[in-house]
Order: sequence, then structure tokens, then C-alpha cells
Amino acid sequence: MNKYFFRKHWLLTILFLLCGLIIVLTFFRQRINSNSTQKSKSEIVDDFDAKIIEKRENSILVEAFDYRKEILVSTKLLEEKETFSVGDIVNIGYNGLIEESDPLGVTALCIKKVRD
Amino acid sequence: MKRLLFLLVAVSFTILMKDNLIAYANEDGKEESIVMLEKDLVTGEETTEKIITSDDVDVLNANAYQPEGASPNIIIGDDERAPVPDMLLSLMPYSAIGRVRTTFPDGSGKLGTGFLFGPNDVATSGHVLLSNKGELPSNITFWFQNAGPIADLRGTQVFIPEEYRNKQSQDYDWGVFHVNTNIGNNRGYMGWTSDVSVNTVVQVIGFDSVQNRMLLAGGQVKEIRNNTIRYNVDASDGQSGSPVVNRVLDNRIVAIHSSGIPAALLNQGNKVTPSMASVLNRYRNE
Repeated sequence: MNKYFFRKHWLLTILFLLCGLIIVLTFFRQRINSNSTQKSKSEIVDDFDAKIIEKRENSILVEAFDYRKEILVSTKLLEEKETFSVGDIVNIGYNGLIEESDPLGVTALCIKKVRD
Repeated sequence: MKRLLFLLVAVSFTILMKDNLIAYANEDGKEESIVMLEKDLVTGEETTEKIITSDDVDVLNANAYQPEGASPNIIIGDDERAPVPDMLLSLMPYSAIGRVRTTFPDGSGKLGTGFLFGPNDVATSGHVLLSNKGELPSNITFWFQNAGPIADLRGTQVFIPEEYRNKQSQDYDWGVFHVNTNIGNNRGYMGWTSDVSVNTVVQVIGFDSVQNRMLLAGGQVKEIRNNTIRYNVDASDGQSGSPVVNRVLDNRIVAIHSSGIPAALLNQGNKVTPSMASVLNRYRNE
């Protein structure tokens, strides 16, 4: 009886520890993934100033001063969703690639308000 | 104690299952196969299809089709973007290149360039076929500059790599769609090849939104990456989806133009990889 009790207790403890290990490992893995997502800001290779002319879901339409063209900026990858208004002047950091559809498109990695 | 243990086991099991599912999804993203997201534009139904990637030489290289009477290999000078003369618009490869307009369920839209790679099969950029909300279009229109009495063609089915829809990865910025007539049998259609190297002379032929007409420019490939090539050929808005053509190889594309890199003064296209070639081969309705 005692032997059975100890064996059961021992198995339960192992199971308990295993479950705890899985949860702890998952937690650390998510922390690592989160850090790698934050690296996206360091992937910014170019930026431009622009005026917001329209707000949409997951994107803003801006007029880029350097290119004098409208660019559809995807805000999907932004971690901190700062609130912007139509008319704001912003600086947009991106990975250096401008999609050459009409309208032109970039995926913003960082948007900073320059002035209202 | 038993309840706590039961809860822990349940949480752990859920986490393990989730990880297994992610691992399975990642396997699909390997180059051995490519998962294409498909949308029937008539019914609106979305499905996926897994296409096995092939390295077969007949898949990596496909001939263009040129209707009788059309003249091949009209070489125009390098490094200058110039309007394609009207008299050439009915000749290959210009006759196979048209404009693409997509309309998304939220009412927004995009304009790009597309080219026939089969009788009713058009290729273009992935970002022309996907909204910023990650939606496939509800409507696609394709038309030619010199179409004359031919009405706009309507897209019937659209296909993009699932990898592009899920991650907007620049490596998979391309897609294809079918149109409602076999117009390619009259106008001709492009072939493809994975044979490209640094310094290869290429031309980008597509529609510029400002000039609203077909432009042609030539230059050299300057950089080759796993899934993309970069070249010093001029392009601008509206030209996404343009064929990047090696004219020496009889109207075969080597890439699909997608984007510009202002900092490097280069443009970029998605090159013909075994994945892309296998997909083009699968959806070419000959």
C-alpha cells in the first residue's frame, strides 16, 4: 500500500514538474520571439516626411514631400499605434522598398509625428 | 491538488498542440512546395492548393507563344524609358502586356501592370492582388492599351502565395489570375526562364500611371538574391507586375517587377524561382 502510494506520488510530482517546464519554456520562447519582432525597427533603411491625407483601417494615405506623390502606408507592422490625424506631418521609417503599384505602397516600421 | 494538476496538464497539452500545428504550417512554406491561396471571383469562395515545386528544366523554362504574323525581337536601346510606339502594341511582347485594376471588398483599389503567360492566364505583383487589410480582390479588370473594340476582361479566379498573404514577405510578392476569355491565343503570351545572372541585360515593360501608357526601359541586373533580383532600370507607380524580360531569350520573363529602392537607386523584381515556375506551369491553361 505504502509502496503504491509513493510510486503514485512520485509520478504525480514528475508530471507536475513536466507541465511546469513546458509552461516556463513557452514563456521564454515567446519573450525571444517578441524581442525578434522588436528588431524590425533596426531594419529601417530609409525614411521620408509626409502629410497624412486619409486614414484607413491598417493604413494611411500620405503625400510624400520628397517624391511629391501619394503613398499608401501600411501600418500593420507597427507595434505602438500612435494616434494620428489627417493633416499631421509625420516621418515614416520603412525597409527601403516602395511598391510601385498605383498608389505607391510602403510598409511602415516606424511613424513619428513631426508636427501637427 | 488534483484540480490544479488537471489544469496544468490541460494548459500544457494546449501549448504542445499549438506548437505542433505551427511546425506543420512551417513545413508547407519550404521550397519543396508552395501553398497558393485561391479565390473564385464569381462565388467568392477561398481555398488553398499545395503545389509541389519542380526543378525540371521544362518547368523552369517555358516558351512564349506568338501568333502568326507577329514580329519577334524588336530591340530598343538600353537605359532610357520610352513610350512604346502604337504600331508595336499589337506585336509581342507588348501585345501580351496590359493594365490591372483590382477592387477590394472595402471599396479601395489598386492599379498595376500584368502580362499574359497563357491563353487566359495573367501574372502580376502580389501587392496588386492584396489589400492592406489582407483581403483578396472582389473584382479584377484587365485591359490593353490598344484593345480597340475589345471590352475589358474580367478576372475569374485569383491565386497568390499563402506566404505573401500571411507575412507580406517581399520574397513572394507575385500572383496570378485567370480572365474570362482565351485572349492569349490571339495576342500571344510570355514564356519564362530561371536563367538570369548579374549583368544580364533586361527590359521592364509596363504601364506608368502618370503618362497613362506603356513604357519600356532597359538596363542590367546588378544583384541577385534568393527570390529577387535588383536592376538599374527605371520604373514608377503603376508598373508593379510588369514583366522583366530577357529579350535575347525570345520574350521569356526572368522576373516580375515589384518595387523600387530609392536609397540604392535600383528597382526590384521577384525572379523566376522553381516555386514561381511551378505555379506558372500549373496555372497555364494550354
